[in-house]
Parts: sequence; C-alpha cells; structure tokens
Amino acid sequence: MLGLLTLLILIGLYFINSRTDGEYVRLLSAKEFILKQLIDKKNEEKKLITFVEKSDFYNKTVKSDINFQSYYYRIQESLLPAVSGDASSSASIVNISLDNKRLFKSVIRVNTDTALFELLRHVEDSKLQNTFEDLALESFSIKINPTYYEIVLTGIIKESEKKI
Amino acid sequence: MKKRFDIYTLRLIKDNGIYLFFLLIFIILLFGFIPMQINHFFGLDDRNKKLNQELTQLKNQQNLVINLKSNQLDQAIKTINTLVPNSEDYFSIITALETISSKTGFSISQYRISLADISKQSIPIEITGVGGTGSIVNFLNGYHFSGGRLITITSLEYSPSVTKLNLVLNFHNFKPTKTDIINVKFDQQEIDKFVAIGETLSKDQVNQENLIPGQFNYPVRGNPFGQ
Repeated sequence: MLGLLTLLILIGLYFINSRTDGEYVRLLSAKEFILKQLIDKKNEEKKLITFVEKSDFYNKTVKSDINFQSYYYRIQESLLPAVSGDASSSASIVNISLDNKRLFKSVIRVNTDTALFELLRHVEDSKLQNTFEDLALESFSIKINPTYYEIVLTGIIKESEKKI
Repeated sequence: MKKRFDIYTLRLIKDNGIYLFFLLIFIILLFGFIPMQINHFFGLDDRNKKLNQELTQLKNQQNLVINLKSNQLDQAIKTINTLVPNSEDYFSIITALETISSKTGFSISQYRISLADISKQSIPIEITGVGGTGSIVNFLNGYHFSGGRLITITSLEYSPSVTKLNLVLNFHNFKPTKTDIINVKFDQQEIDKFVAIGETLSKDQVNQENLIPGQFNYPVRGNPFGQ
C-alpha cells in the first residue's frame, strides 16, 4: 500500500515537474518574442524615456509655482470683511506679497475707525483658521490728512489645488 | 564474545532477499528521491516566478512602446523641449518675456538677473512691470507657457492701486539622463497635454505673425546711383 502511494507520488511529481518545465519554455519563448519587438522599437523607447523624465520634471516644477491668483482671491475674500454700509469706508488691500511657500504679507487700508474695528474683529475670527495656517497682525498705523488706517498682516495660507 | 547471526536468520534473509532489496529501493525512493524531486519542483517554480515577473515588466514596456502614437510623441517632445530646453538658451528667455508682454499688455519695465542665484536647472529673473488690471490678470493667467518657455513665479508683490507687479520669475532647463525604461510610468494623457499646449503655442505664433504686416513691396532701385 505504502509502495503504491510512493509510486503515485513519484508519478505526480514527474507530471508537475514536466509541466513546470514546459511553462518555463513557454515563458522563455514569450520573452524572446517581446525582446525582438522591443529591439525594433528601440528608438521609440528612447524617446518615451526622454519624454516621461522631462514631463515629470515639468510637473514637479509647475508644483513649485506660486499660483498667485487663486491665493490672492482667497486672501482677499477671507481677510476683508463684507462691506457694511458705506462702501468707501470698507477695507481694501493696498499691497500684498506672496511667495511659493505660501507666506504672505498684506497691507490693508480702512478709512474710518468703525471700519477699522470691524476689520480687527473680523481678523480675530476663529473661522479664519480654515483658510490660514498662521496669521498675525504685524503692525498698525494711522495717517492723518486724509485720515486712514493701515494694518499689516502676515501669515501662511493653507494649500489649495493647483490649476495648471 | 562476538554475536553472530544464527542459521535461522540467515535463511530468512536469503529466502526474502528480493523483498529486502525492494524494501531498500523503496526506502531510498521515499527518503531520497521524493524530497529531491520536491526540491527540484520548488527550484523550477521559483525560476518560473522570476521569469514571469520579468515578462510582466517586458509586457508593460511592450505596451508602452508598441501602442505608442509615434507622431503625437514627437510633437509632445518638441513642445516640451521648447518649454524646457536641454540647456539654457538666453535668447529664448528674452523672446518669451517680450512675447508675454506683447500678448498680455503687461509692460515689463525692469529686469534684474542675479548671477549668484542661477542654478544648474533654473534662472531666476526679478522683473517689475506695470499695466491695467486686465493686463495683469492676462499676465497671471498666461505666464506659465504662453511665452514659449515654462515660467514659474517664486515670489510676487502686487499693489492693486498702482497696478504694479514686482516678481521673481524662473526659467527652467533640464537634460534627461535616464536610459532604462524599467520603472517608467507613462500616461497617454501627458502626451495629449503637451500636444494641446504645442497647438496653442503654434496658433498664437500664427496669430502674432498675422498681426505684423509681412508685405515689403515698396519700389526699390536697381542702381542706387541712377535715377
């Protein structure tokens, strides 16, 4: 009985091994076929490698761009409170600088003290944490004749999706 | 005293010699040949798995190269080489800035190149420019490649009331060095993207050429000293 079982195992192993060997031969011939095709297309392959490497560089470079417009509108929408009452008394951005690390500095001007308080209250609003990673009031100045107030805010705006 | 097989045992061995011989073969098969065959099987299986992996890579490579639209690839490479040349070409920088300026109406009043900041793959140029709000918006919408070169901005200062921009632009160059296609991830959409950019650039070029009158058919004299 044990002998028969051994014989069966041996036959089974023989079949399995010869099938595995056959598979190896099949894979080898498939490899040979593909390699022949690839040798014929060597020039295209070279072009493709060049293109992919260069387009990767392009995409990586584009990601380092400032994407100013999108951040500018977000900063403007977030920092300037909605116009209430007289439009001339509302806040406006006088100057803004931004770099590709999303660090910004913005000078905001208001013409009345009411608008100034409204602006300061707005800047303190915790909702701004959704837009900015960091936001600080750097300086504050009053100009006379004509009277207006300027505040300088600095901070880091949260990343938004690139448009390019 | 030495132990010896008795006659009975010897007889028994002699009578059953054939069975003992087969028993020995059976034991050799069971403990020698079968494990050897099993090991052989695992060896073959391992070899096939490696070959299979290699074949999968080759098939991917084949799919990339064989199914490639060669014309489109050439066009895409041409465009990307214009946008990002293999080595820096200073004339194309000046042309790109002039082209953007004329296309958008954004007037560049000052350039400054800091030689210390130039790196192997990029040239930063500080520029100051003025223009109406529309020109500035046009410039900010189109600076990336409408000048025929890839431009990125590192930092920008904008004063809405005086419609003035101070910015640091970067022009890039890059020379590919890879030679092996393995691990190259390819996306047909990338080719389509650069083909589309190339078409936009050549359309713009045609439009610009149309703006400049190309007829110079004024009368000329063959003999400058004659009447």
